[in-house]
Amino acid sequence: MATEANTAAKSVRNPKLDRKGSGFLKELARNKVLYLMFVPIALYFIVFNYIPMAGIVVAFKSFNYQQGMFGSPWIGLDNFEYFFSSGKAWLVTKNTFLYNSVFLAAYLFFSIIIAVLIAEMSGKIFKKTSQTLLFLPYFLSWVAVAAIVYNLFNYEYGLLNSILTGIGMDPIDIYSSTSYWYFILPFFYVWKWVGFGSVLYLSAIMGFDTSAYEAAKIDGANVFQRVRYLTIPLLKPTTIVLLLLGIGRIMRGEFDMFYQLIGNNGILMDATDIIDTLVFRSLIVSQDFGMASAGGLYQSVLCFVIIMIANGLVKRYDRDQALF
Amino acid sequence: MKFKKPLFTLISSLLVTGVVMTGCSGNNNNASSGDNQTNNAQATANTNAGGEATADTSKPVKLTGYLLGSAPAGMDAVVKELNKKLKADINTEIDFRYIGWGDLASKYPLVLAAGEDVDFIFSANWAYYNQEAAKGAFREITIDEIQQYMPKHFAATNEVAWKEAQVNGKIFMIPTSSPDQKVPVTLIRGDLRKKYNIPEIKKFQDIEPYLEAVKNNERAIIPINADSQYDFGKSFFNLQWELGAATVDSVLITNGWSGTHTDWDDPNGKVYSQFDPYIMDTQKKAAGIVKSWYDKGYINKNAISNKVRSKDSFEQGKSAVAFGNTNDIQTTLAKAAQQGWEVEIIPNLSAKGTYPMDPYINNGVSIAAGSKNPERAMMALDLIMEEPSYNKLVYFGIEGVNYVEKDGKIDLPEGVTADSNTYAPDAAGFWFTNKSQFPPMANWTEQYIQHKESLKDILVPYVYNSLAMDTANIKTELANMSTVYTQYGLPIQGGIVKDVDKAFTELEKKAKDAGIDKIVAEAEKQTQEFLAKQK
Repeated sequence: MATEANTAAKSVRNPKLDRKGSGFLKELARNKVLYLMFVPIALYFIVFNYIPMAGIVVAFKSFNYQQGMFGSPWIGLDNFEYFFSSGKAWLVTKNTFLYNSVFLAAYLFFSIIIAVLIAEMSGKIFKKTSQTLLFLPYFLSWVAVAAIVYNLFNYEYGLLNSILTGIGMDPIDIYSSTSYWYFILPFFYVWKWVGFGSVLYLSAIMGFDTSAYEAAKIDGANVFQRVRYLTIPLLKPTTIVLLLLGIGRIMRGEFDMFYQLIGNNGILMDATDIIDTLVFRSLIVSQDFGMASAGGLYQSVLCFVIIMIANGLVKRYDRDQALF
Repeated sequence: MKFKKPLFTLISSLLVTGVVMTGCSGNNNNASSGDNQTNNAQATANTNAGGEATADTSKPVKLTGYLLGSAPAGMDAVVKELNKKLKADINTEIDFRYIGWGDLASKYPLVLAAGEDVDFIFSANWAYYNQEAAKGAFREITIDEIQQYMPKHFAATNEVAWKEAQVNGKIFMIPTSSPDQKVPVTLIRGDLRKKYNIPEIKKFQDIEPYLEAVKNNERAIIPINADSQYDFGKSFFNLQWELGAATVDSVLITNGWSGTHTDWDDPNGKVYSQFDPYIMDTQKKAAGIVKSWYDKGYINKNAISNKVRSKDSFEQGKSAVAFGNTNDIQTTLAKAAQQGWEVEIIPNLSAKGTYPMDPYINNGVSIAAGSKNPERAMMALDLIMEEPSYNKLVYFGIEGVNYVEKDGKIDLPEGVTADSNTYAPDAAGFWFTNKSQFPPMANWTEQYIQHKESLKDILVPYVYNSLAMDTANIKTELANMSTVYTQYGLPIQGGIVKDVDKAFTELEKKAKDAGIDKIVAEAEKQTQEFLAKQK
């Protein structure tokens, strides 16, 4: 996982150790065990994240298999043209940003709530069961989730409409009105990821110093006060790191989710089209690697700008919490 | 290609001629190619003399081939049997892998781009053949090579096929020798039709009373229970074809939407824009009817997100209509017969009662650009495609386990049903083999046989079958049209828009923005050049 890798890498390169002495070799010799531990992670990032970056050139080329990635002819910005001339560039960029903001906020909020609740629970069996049940959706693919959603909401045979008609109400046609989806999509996003998110926070909570809690208890703080004045402030660093990591991906749409749940439903498209689905739909016929890379590059550049701004803001207010 | 001895040359020419002749005898649907065959045999023998010496099979080779769909349960047994035969004949084995239907668009180019570990792959004009060939994904195949390594297939294949397979003048596909003889069809339940005293339905446009009767009387059945992929636009197109403009997309014949149309009944191949009155008027009429059906509940409300084809719902008694084509309705007919339902076939044709013939490149196989053993792959494919024992093995499975041949018909063995057969005919993805070698199936109903018979009067040659459009200049516009189509075109076809006229106006505006005019101009230019060359 990139998250853990990043934080681990950060702690290994502790700046205090770097200061003394001079020369890179000396430094290496002094902390060789730490650097040795760092090597696999560095290799991972070089092989899987840095070297592939060279592939960005494909976005500016008319790619063919014979001449390959670097030999194919340059065509300037032609590959980007379809995206901006589609007339939907702004709409999908906006949708991607807004959906992901809502997803991220809801995800962080519910993850923290659930982590705190689980941490405060006393019955061991109940605690483990609820944790497992919450975690379960994490293992489902969006294809399976889409099938569940379809069986809940489809017009003729869906559970919802069966109940509605059963109690004498009119069935509703969810798949042809956009308004429901503003709630359905975030709901299922949270439903799927919250188990995973809560574990991250739970592990942070488990690491807190219990003596602080005991002291608070002795001083007469009730459970709500302990959560409010101890747990939440202590979770701040974890929250900020996860928030920043989330923001770093904010222009990357959850393609699987949108594609599986919405598919080619033109009626819903203005409300649910994101960059990833637009690119996919545009290129499914022509299968042009260059144009697809152009879409990806556009997202990456936006992500880069946004993460730089977010990190800069964090740095300004609380230097220690910034990612870099 | 070095000659060793004159005597050897002579012997091998004789051998090859013999092989070619046996190959010819299996080919009985090509009446006109009689003298072609002798020529071919001659040519093959001449060029092949040295080839026999170099086509050295002493080294064992393991090939990897990709097919589409998914492996049937009995695939392992069939592959084992196939490899036994291949090993004995040409010291070769094949490992088959599948690209699932759902992954086709994404995985197909990836398999080729990775370039490793793939020798041959199923290819077809509807599976991005042009696009991939233009990108250099496939190895160029020359006629000489075909004659040398695939003599049986060369002899069995009409020369038009090789012309159709050309992209920018080069061949990248080994097309089938027997293109499918098929038309789209609509199936209805004859027993229900008679029950409600509806007169016989010959054309799709007369189907409404039947839909109405089912809707009003059969609560458990949705008249048209359509899915979002295959069936979604079917009602619309069936009506459009019968009501006037019987067209296919001029640029993207089989997949996608470019906003251009060519009438298949028109030998001059005029290219129409989507918004030409000729197209628009018919489409508006068709869209209006489909919308009224949708509003009256003849079509399921969730068609746009449903993933179960009407054909499958039909088999389960949940749909009164099934859309399919001559070939893929066979199982549906068999299953309906088991239920005791009477099924009627309505072919979906133009007003003149025609439908364009499948091109040869509708099913084929290509050699990957990175294949290390292209010769051996071609030799193996020659056997699979044209040698009857191989051909039946890959298409029908193992004799006695998956099928038996009785009274000149293919039937299921004792105790095996269509459901329990582990290797259903046609299911394993070998659609490029020579199907004219196959005897009829025992389960074909009288009506189905009649339908197949009628095809020869229905199928007409489509003027641009062998034109592979070069889309390099319009790729931006096509990409845009593709999104416009999904968002503004599909809802019209499904009848789910609120106002048909308004929806068409919106579509027109968006299509103009997306650059339809440029696409039409390019299509006109390329079709004109093509026609000029044909003369």
